[in-house]
Amino acid sequence: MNQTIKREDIEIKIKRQEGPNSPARWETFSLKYRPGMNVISCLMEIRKKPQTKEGMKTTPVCWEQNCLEEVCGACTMVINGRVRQSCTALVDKLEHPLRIEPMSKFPLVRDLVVNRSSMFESLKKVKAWVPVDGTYDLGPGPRMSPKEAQYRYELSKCMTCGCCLEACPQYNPQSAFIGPAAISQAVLFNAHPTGKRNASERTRSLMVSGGAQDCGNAQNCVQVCPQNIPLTQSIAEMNRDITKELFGFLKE
Amino acid sequence: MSESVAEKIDVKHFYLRRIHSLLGVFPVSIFLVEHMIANAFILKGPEAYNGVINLLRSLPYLIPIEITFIGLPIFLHAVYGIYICYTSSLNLKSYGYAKNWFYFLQRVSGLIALAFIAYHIWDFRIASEVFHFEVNYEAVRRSMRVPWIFSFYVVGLVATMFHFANGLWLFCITWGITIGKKSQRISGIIFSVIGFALFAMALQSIIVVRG
Repeated sequence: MNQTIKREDIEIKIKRQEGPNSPARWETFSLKYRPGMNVISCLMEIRKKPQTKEGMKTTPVCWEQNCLEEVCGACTMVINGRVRQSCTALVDKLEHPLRIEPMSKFPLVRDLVVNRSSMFESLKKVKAWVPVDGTYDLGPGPRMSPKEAQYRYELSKCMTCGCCLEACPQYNPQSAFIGPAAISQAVLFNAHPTGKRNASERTRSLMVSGGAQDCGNAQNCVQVCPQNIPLTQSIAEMNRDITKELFGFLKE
Repeated sequence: MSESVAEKIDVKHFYLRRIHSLLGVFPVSIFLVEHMIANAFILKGPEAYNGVINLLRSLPYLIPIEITFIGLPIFLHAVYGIYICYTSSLNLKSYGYAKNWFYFLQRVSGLIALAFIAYHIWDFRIASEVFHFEVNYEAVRRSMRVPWIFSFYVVGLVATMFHFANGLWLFCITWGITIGKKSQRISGIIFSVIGFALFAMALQSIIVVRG
């Protein structure tokens, strides 16, 4: 990794695919190095002149981006075999040649663009919200202790980027596992002073096939989470709530 | 994809997974510990060991006990375990973290342990009934003196003990006993020590019995 010093050209291999049903192919691009480049600025460079290293004309690479400061999750892709946001993937700190692929766990749209709506579906499944209909003034909600607020703040940083699902070996087509992100969001809203009222509903939504019990504890999710959310802690927390729910029949 | 996942969703599966986790500890792990203690009577000589075997074999309701508390739980744990292997995937090359390796090893060790246990049950429980010979110190010695059987036992024991120790660690997470990083690290240390100790006991028994 001592290629951090001045380099003449950067070589980037990008996995290309015209559409969901088109065959995938790899294209190699060569760019002039500029200090401070990140993967996004490389893609922008390629867009200016979409031509492979061999001089073949090609289409500009499609990708998604938004905040460019690692808080939106839109530009998540697999860089050198590891999932991360491309906006904070600095060329100086990466191994060369760069290898860029779309995430593999979501339906592909085109090139580096994937459809992450399954994550939104998962949030709906676990009811990751506080239901207040807003038809009349309920007055101020219960107060949150600073400790609670701090704990919940960490979980609230989830930007639904998909890193945890991409790195999770238990999240795959053979398995119904919902993945760490949605479980952690259920925990976030279960810990909300008002959201608590519906805690049982959220917990029960994860007592199904693909629920929290399917986690295999490879614990890659915490390793790759760009927001350092304690995802495995959330899963275990949910497991405890589920155990309590499970023994709830003893109260009857 | 989301539709097919929704179709698959049912509550039954949740119970199966939790039962799988529970069976691994109650009774399978408990039996494993009991078994290793019984084995250790090898250290006290042939008479003591044969005495323990005869005591266990003379238990009333032996067959129902064996089926209810040993055979059936291991069988159910194994069947569901194989299904878990099917629903797993590997990505060690990209994410070579220790816990990810353990995830892989838990599945591999389970499969090896299953093969080992199947052979072991045949060799020391079923074959003796079928061919009418007695299982005792001498019979165990004869088996353990065969190099390939001994090697298979060492491999089988490594797999079984890893699966046991890591399984207990997983059990504590699956049931929400250890939640945070720190408690999971501490339980990891505790179960590693227990796993190594039990492995050492088992190894000593099969080495000593060779004479």
